[in-house]
Amino acid sequence: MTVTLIRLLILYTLILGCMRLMGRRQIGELQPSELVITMLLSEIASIPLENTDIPLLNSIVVILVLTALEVLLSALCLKSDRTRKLLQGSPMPVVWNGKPIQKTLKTLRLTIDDLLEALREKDVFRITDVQLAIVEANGKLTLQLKPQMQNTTAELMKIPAPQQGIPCPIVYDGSIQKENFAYCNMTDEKFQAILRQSGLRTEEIFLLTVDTLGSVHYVRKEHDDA
Amino acid sequence: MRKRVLITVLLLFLAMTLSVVSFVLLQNRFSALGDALQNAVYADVPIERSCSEIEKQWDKSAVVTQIFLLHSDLTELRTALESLPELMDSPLLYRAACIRALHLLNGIRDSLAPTVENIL
Repeated sequence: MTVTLIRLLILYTLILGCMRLMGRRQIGELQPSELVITMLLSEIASIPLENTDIPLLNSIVVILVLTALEVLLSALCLKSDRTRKLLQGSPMPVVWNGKPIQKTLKTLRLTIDDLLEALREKDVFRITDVQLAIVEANGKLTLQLKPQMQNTTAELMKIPAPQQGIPCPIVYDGSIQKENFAYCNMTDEKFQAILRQSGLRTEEIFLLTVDTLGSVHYVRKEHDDA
Repeated sequence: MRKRVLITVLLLFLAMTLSVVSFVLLQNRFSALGDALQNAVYADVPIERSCSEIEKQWDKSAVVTQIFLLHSDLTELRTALESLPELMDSPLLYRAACIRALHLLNGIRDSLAPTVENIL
């Protein structure tokens, strides 16, 4: 039991480090190579936990090589368009101007039912409403509706829209986020002035945001009396 | 990205080094143990001396083999080697046990070689 526990801690730390090394891409939408790596990693990590007869070092070496391959391949994909297409595939249009592109559907082995279902998931019930639909490399469908079917926007209606500032968190849970000061033209003096105005100390603030236009919004920390 | 790739290359290098070092270490240890067993079987070495030599070589190999090899593969070999001192009074049985241990050792050794048969 102790051996398994120690092995678990080592593998957990290693896999966490490897996932961080592979980057954020791994956590979001998975590309085919990333899916393979993630599945392999979880399998390889579980084997020495289930069977303590298997040397841990074997799994560690395999995990390191898999991580290295994934990072190197993604670096190669960044450099080479051909490698990217080969390893990750490329987006393919499946609907153009309200009509399904049958050749692409055959290539992707998608039936018309699959396509209609994917459209319905996007709240589109008539294929004729679609200007362009693309199956992305990760298998997701993205689409653009015909102009007459798109939502009305202020720009379309020629209504002048007021500028909105971009909010920056300045205090999180009583802790000042100095690194965000530059994004919203904040200085120490301005921050102290905000605190004086609100009558609060930093430790009493749960969230304080300042937007790029200078609007301040804060939420006071709730006291847990229980 | 460059830093990440650099770390990755270092990790790859580490993994490759570990793999090569483990292979070389195991081959060296098995070779020394194999020689000791072969001396016990084929050379005219007194049983006491050959047995203590085998024991010494196995003690040296134990840690390395347990780090890099499947423990279940080693159990049979360890049992065979540990039974040798008890058979010292009977040279025939002792020799037979040494031959068996040698076969087991060669079997493990062969399974480590990066040959087509092992890979496939």
